[in-house]
Amino acid sequence: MRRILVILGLLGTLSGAWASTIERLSMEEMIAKSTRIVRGKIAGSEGVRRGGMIYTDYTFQVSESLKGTASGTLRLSVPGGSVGLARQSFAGTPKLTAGEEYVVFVWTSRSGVHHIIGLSQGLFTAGVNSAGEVVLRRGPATAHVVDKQGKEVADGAIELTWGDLERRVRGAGVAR
Amino acid sequence: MKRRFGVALGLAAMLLAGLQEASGYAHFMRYILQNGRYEAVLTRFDLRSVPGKRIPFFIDRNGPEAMVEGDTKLALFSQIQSAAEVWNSVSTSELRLTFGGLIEPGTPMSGPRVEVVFDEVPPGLVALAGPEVLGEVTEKDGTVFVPIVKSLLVLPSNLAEPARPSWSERLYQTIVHEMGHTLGLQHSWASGTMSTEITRATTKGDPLAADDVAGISMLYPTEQFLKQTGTISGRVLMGGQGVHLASVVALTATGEAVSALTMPDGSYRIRGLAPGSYYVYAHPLPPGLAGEPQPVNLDLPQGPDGAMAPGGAFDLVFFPGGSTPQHMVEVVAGEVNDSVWFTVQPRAKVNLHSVQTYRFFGQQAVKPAYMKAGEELASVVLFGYGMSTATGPVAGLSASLLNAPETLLAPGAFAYAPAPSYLQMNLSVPAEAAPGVRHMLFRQNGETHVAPGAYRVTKAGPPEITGVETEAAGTVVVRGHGVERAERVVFDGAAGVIREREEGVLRVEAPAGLDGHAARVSVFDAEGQSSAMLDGGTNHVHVFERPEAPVVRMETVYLPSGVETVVEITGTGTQWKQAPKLGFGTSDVAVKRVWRLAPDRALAEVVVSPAAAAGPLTLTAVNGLSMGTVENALNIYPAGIRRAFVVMSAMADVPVYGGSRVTLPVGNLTSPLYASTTQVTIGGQAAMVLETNGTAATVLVPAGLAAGVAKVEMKVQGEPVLPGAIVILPPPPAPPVITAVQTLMGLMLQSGSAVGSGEMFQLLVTGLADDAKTADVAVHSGEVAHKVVLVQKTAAGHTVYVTLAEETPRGAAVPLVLSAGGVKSQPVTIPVR
Repeated sequence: MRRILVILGLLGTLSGAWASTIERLSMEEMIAKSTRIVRGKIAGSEGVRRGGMIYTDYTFQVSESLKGTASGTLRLSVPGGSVGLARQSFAGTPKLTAGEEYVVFVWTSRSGVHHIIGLSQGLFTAGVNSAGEVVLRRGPATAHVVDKQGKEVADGAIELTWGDLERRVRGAGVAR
Repeated sequence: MKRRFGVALGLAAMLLAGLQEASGYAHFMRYILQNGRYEAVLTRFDLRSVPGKRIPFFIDRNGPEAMVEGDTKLALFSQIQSAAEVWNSVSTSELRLTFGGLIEPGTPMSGPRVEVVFDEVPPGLVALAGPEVLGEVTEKDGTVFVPIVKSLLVLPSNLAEPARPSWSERLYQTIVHEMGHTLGLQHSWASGTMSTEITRATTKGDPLAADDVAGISMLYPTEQFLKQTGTISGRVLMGGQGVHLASVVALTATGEAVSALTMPDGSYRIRGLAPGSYYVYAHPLPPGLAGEPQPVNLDLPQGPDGAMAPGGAFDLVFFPGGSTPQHMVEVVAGEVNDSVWFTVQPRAKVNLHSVQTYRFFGQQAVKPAYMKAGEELASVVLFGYGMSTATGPVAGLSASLLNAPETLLAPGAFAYAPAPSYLQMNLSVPAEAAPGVRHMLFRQNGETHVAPGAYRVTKAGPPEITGVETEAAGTVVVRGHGVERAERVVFDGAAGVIREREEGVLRVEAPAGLDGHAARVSVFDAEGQSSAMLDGGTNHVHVFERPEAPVVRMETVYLPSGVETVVEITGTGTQWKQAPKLGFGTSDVAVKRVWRLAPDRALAEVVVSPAAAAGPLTLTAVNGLSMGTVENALNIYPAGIRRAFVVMSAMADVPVYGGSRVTLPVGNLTSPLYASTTQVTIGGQAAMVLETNGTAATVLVPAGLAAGVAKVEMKVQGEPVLPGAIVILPPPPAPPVITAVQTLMGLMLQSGSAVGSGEMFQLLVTGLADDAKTADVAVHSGEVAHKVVLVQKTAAGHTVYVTLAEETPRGAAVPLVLSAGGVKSQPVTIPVR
């Protein structure tokens, strides 16, 4: 049995496919490890340099929250971008579109910088389905995902409603 | 010549030669539109701008904040340095990374470099890396590129949770991979280290595949790269239109794969192919997996109007057509086979992709699957996207081997019983199967997927360590099964020196280490396998015992910017057996060469950039697993202060012997040099100044100096000049001397006894080595080579028997020269009839 766990664990951790190396997180892990889960729109962006690294800081206008502060504006930092003539590239980093609505699992560092959890894993586009519900989508493919204990994770490729997510957040015992 | 991107759109046609070579492998690049056609401009380091074409890499001195129990910064830093050496091992790439020292992140510096830093990263992110550019297109030496000013490799500051030990195969491969990104490589889909982690089929023991070698060599080619390798080129067309960012792969049946991506017009060039026969196929890039920001996991090429997306999905096709490999394409060194065009058919989406295979060694799952020649039943576990359901393989899935000598046993891929969403396959490996990489094909519902490097066949299993003991005098005994086949034994990231090997036992001289440091020991064989495949790299440690802690010392040297000089480093207990690696923590001070003078004394040639910032610099000295620092080792003067210096770079290729003349150019002079006011010592001995020309002094090297490096110290008008160093060569061998030319009867050749073509005569020669062989000696008359029949030792020297060449010109005084070991005699003349 240990063999199974080893291989499942290996696959779980090897599922990353980015230029940046990623460890796959389940929805439960993202809920637990995020500091905020918010829905909102991108109002603008600018490149900033912190230490030796360039980030694109997106101004994210929060319309609703399932975890953390309920509203307000968030500066969301994504590695890579431009400052003046300098441009830093990290393959695999997301590019957010002004005016577009997203649901973001945010992780805030000790220094107070807000990141998308797992680089792109915690970023979902938000749309509306035929029933008028807000739907979160991430990733065009159906991925087979297991966690580090080898347990099947059913939400590899994700399409769920805001209401579903809210229930899962509450089910995880997270207070808003 | 520099242009901003906007201006670059109008680059003259003269630049096109450089641009047209650029398409191919997945690099960081942008397109410019030239005469209606997109041309690629690659992002890379400008090696011509750095001393010795060496790009320094620096490591965040703080290291990670948290590591797994038993792990250390020293061990991690050694693994990072080892990962850099992986890229230095590519002989067809000019790029060399050199350790530049430990730095505080954000240290200002101006030269191109790679910085490895530790930072808070969000959960789920293991590492990221990429280049920074200033948006300038540069043309140098006929090539056009965007120079990298700095690359960053970010590792998590918390390596304890999740656990990422420095000795793990995964972290090491991640660092090698990310370092590839810092050098300008993006992902490819040919199972090399620059493949995504899913399809990567490299190991710590064999970290680079042919695809990686081709990719880095395209960016930084040596002269030999294009001469030794060939190119396949063509186009990928769908409905008569080029397909952008299709992947085209060339592979041999039992060798590694090399790939390229197509340009917007569907054209591609796969360069760096060893001469031989290849199957070539084109396939669409796999779709993004959950969480990926775009369908392909690339930093998409930027065109004039923004990022340019890949073309649509299509059916995989082998050249010249069909989904089965049938026709091989010939590759000749130095030539381009430009006839490999593909016509592809669209499909709605790619379902089959990203295959990974595993094999178990004990409880260790190893990826990719390794199997031994002669194994009658080798079970492999695999997973591929679109290939399985929760209960087994998808309906209609078939698996086959691509011209491999192994047999895939019935029923092919089936459900892996302990976890049915994974698949299992069983192979039979013939005893005579050649070791190497194998490829597989998967088909389902009309779709074909090729998994390059799906598994590997080896001659023997991985080496296994059963014990590590310390013998006297720093020798480590490694016991185990198959360890005698070791190619390398490493202690954390530093290699030891194998001194003795017998069945089951290795005696290894450990690298230098600090007292009490526990280094993980791994044995690597020549087949890309290591003992870590069996024990995870954790089971065997060597604890260093070194009561006298090494201390590195350097008295502060004050230097202005824009100079070259040598500095001396000393120490106690350093036990340097070879020159230590030195870095001053800035790309503005390059260490070009380091000479070990004694176990506790070294000399380093340093070059200070004209742009160097003023202030103190910290020296980092590395010797194996031992690392020491010296604060304020160098101190750079504020701008405007000048000091004269010996221009060592102008003397690099001049051979110098004891007793010979050497010209010492001097930079930053404020007044001309005069012999009467210039004093020079070399290796501590006074050197006579023979003449000066205003900016250089020609001196006589003291005859008694031993071969090796010697410090050059100079005073001009009583003021010391920053010193330099010269390497004194052993005295050149005396040339041979032809003392007589005779007939075989021992008579002198004269006009009356002239020799004719095809006739044999003999030379009496002195000055040849006692053991000179016939093959060591050559005899020429101008361009005409005579045949040396025999070289025979005599009491007075040697007799060389020669047959006169047919094409020898006739005459009374035809010159004849004998050479041995590249040293020529003075010519003599012989009569030829």
